Amino acid sequence: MRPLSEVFAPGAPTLPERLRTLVVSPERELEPGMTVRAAFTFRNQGGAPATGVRVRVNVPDGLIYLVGSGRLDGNDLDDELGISPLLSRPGAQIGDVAPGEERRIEVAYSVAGAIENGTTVELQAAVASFELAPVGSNIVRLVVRSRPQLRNALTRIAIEAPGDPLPGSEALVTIRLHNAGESSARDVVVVAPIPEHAAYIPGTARVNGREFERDLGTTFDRAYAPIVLRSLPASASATLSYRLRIDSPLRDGSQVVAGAEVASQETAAFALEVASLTVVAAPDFSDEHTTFVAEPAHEAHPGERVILTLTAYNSGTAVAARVTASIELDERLVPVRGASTIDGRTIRERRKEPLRFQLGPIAAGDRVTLGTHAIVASPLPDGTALGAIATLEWEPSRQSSARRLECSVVGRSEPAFPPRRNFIEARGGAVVRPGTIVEAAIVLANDGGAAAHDAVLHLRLDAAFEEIGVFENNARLNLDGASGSLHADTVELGTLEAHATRRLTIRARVASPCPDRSELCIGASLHTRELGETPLHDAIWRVDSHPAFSDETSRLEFADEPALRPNQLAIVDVVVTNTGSDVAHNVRLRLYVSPEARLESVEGATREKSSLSFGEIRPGAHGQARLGLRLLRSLAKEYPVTVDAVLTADAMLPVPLQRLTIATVAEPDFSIASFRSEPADAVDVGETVEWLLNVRNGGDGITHRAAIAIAIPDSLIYVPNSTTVNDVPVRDVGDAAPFAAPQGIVLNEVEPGVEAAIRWRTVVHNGLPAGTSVVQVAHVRYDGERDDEIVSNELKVRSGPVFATAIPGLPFGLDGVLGPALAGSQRALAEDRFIQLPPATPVGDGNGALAPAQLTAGVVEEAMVRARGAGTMAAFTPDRLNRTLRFLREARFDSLVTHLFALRAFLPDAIGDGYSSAIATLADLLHEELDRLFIKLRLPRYAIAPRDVETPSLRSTIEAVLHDAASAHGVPADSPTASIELRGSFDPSELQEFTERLGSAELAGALPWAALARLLPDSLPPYAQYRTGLIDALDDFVDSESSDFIEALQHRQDAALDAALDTMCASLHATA
Amino acid sequence: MFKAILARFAPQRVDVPLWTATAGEEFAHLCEAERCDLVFAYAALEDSQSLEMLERALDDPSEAVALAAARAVATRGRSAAVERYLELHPGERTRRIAAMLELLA
Repeated sequence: MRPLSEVFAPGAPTLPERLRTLVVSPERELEPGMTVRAAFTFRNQGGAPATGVRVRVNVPDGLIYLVGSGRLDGNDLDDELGISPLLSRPGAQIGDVAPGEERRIEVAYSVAGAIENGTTVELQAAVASFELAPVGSNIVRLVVRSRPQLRNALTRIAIEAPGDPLPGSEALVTIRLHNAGESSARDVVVVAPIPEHAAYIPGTARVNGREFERDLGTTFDRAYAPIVLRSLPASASATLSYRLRIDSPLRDGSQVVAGAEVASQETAAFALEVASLTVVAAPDFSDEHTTFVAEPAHEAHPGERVILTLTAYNSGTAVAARVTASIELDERLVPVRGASTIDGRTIRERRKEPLRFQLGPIAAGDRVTLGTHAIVASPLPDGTALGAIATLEWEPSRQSSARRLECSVVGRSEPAFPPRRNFIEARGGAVVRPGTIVEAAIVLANDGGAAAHDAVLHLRLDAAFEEIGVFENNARLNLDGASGSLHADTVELGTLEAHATRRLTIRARVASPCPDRSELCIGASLHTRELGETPLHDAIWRVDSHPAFSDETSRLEFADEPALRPNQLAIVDVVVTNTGSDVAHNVRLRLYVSPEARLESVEGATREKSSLSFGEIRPGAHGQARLGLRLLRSLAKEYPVTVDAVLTADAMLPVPLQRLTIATVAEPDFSIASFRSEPADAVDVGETVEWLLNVRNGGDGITHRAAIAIAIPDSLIYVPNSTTVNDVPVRDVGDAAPFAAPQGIVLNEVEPGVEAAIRWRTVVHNGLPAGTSVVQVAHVRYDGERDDEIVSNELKVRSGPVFATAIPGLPFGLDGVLGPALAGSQRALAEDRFIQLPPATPVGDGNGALAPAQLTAGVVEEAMVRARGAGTMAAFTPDRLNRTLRFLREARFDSLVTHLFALRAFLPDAIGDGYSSAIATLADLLHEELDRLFIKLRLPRYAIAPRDVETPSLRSTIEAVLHDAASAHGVPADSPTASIELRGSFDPSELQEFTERLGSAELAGALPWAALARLLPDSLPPYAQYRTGLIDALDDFVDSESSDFIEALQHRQDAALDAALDTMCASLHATA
Repeated sequence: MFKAILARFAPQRVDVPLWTATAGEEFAHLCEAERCDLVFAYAALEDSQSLEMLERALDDPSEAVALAAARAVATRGRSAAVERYLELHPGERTRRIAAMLELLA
């Protein structure tokens, strides 16, 4: 048996219905909220009291105990803790129930407000006692009658947008379903069509936040009347929501109306009150899609086309009507007419407001592209911002019905100096001459859009330019020089404005001289801060330059006396001046000297036969040479000598110079003479004084008559017949000396260079007081009017007191004074040798020397030496003499060369009274050289070469010998070993002249041999004859070319000379 | 020096003397005058080789060349060699050379 507490437990079986005394009101159906009253009556049908009776009533679901409604036996039964004890698990303890006692309990319930329709409510009561098991009452089954109610105020539809309901924006439709009934609504159906002007956003349908569309199997907008809820309990709410996309575009104010119908199995369909959304729509050009850009976007150069593109994109939700675009351009942007397009199509050009464009309507989401072109104007400062403003206006007008857009590009400009318009060019001809002025024009045209600053013109000037000037509009510009540059070459030009042209002129003088065909160049370059170096190319000229000579600046002129004397050098200066402007190459002066004269020496130029070579002469330079012209003795007549000259040079026409006419003067001159005494300084009275008057025709002309007169002073007593002329005694005239005679000593036909030595002796007068000065004066009268006075040295007379005494050696006393013993000295000439000077015979070498062979050599030598100045001596032993003569016999080659061997054979061993080492060296050299020639000449048909005749070492040795001879005096001492001495005499001054000439004489010429010939012996007539002949033969070639001399050596035969040599050899042979 | 002197006389000539041929082929054809000059050039030297050449030149077919060689050898102090040569080569040519040599001494 189950206790009472266990009955009515959930899930427990009901009690068997034993007592049918439970009465419930209402009996059959219940409705939510209805009060249900239950009364249970029971009776102790037994007999015994039922003790510990407990009563209990169940509380089924859906019924709610009404508090305080429990009653027992009509009496309220207090609730315990809010519930009646009748409903508690142990039940209400009602005590003992007597048998037969009836008891009654009552309890009231309330039907729950929400209980499903059809719900069965079962009520049952049970009673138990201690003695009795719980007895159940009848079970009262009540059916609940209830309905859902969807149509209520809470069931509604709403549409809302998160923001402004703009076209295109989303809107949320929310359908709230509320079951205001007592039971659940089953299969709730909602018909929610997608509102007009909106579109369902797929996947957004939600039921109570749960995705709903998946259950539909299709999209929500395609499912008509879908069951959104299988059950909607009473008082429950559910929400169906989905999102919409508002159509766009959409006219402003358009309504999006959302409506729905709801139905369920219990509820007929009903429509919800519609909800709507008023769309707010407007055109909009404010976003970034509306642009105004320029192409190029950043930088543009003057002249460059800038494409301005306005893209009007209606990002709004409504059509923009009457859209206009106005473009404002920077003043340096020049609009291009006819180049505007809208959406790529050209538009009609408007005369008025050409930059205002009607774009027409622009639907939302549409765009219109307006393109217009502009050109960047020039000039334009670099870096200028070129702005453009586009104003977009549209309707309908609201607060923001216009938009202003701006764009800009940076104007990039720079100066430009295109080569076509910036250059340097030569003006005038392309060929210039030195000294002329060249002119070059420089054009600087800034074709760029910006000014060029700090412009500096750099010039590259050839060194050949001078006096350089740069001019602009006849104003001279400052020309500065860079360090290290030859010329000032920089011109600061400052700023060169854009599109401005400046013209400069460069003038420069071509330096003179200047090489021919050289190119002169003026280069220029422009340096600006913006462009750096801009070359301007070059202006080039070609120089036409030539050397030039004229007979005015190139001439022949006398250096000293304008006259040419025989055997004297006339110095003629040659001056050639290059007055041209280029170097004269290979300048030569060909001389045409009249045959009376010979070009003797040349200084300052290279002589090539009759031409002078000056080599190169620079422009403006001079070539100078000094010519030595010698008038040939044999032609020493008073004929003028002419010298013509033709000047030639490379690349030049020959220039004949003005003829130089040289007057020849030939006149005798006896002004230079010596008149001295022996003793020279002092003399005792009574002593003999020897006087020597040397007169020489030092002129260059012959005198036909020269009278020498000397007056013997009273202090002197002439020694009769003591007068000699060139050692030839001359008779006195009466008791007077010949020179004291009225006509004096007359010399006839005195050739130039001929000397006359007049000697005489006098005795100093005994009566002269001491200190008396004795001076003699000689007069040489010639040429009629010349009278040269020659004063002797001053001779002082010594005198002292003497007393007559006995003189030793005399057998008697002599009242006199001892004097010089005149008779004690050996006289040079015997009285029988007195001869009269032949009046027409020139006084020359050998005059008066026709000494007979019987004269002793010593006497002759002394006389000759006195006459000529110095002596020579060749010493021979008999053996050497024999060998020499044999050698000479072998050396007969039938030509002039034979006599070179003779000269070698008779060359003296000593000259003068001194020692000359050169003569020995010369003998050795001649021995060597001529021996070789001797051997070579033995070869058949051997041709003599210049080196066979003379070598440089031989020349230098000959010069040394001649130098010694020129300074020699006296005679050589006798040889202690030689048995034969060949002596000669010579004039040292003559050899001095040879010595001077030898320096410029060419090798292998006749000059050295002619000089050496004068050293040969002449002590005997055969010697003198041969020497004279040899000298004459060699002198003929002294002024000839060496080739002529060699030709003569090889082929010329002089029979007289050969005979003279034979005579001399024969004489020597006899001596030997 | 020796070759340099030889080189001065390089032109080709006819008549081949033995002594110049030994100096080289280029000296084999010198004319008489050139051989004389060659002898004179050797005479200015002091080496044994030039002396040997001078002694060979005594055999030169040209009497003048041989005379020049004899004079050069004698000048070099080798008169004995010349005399020996003359003794070994008696004849008119030798006599003339000896006579000329005496005159030139």
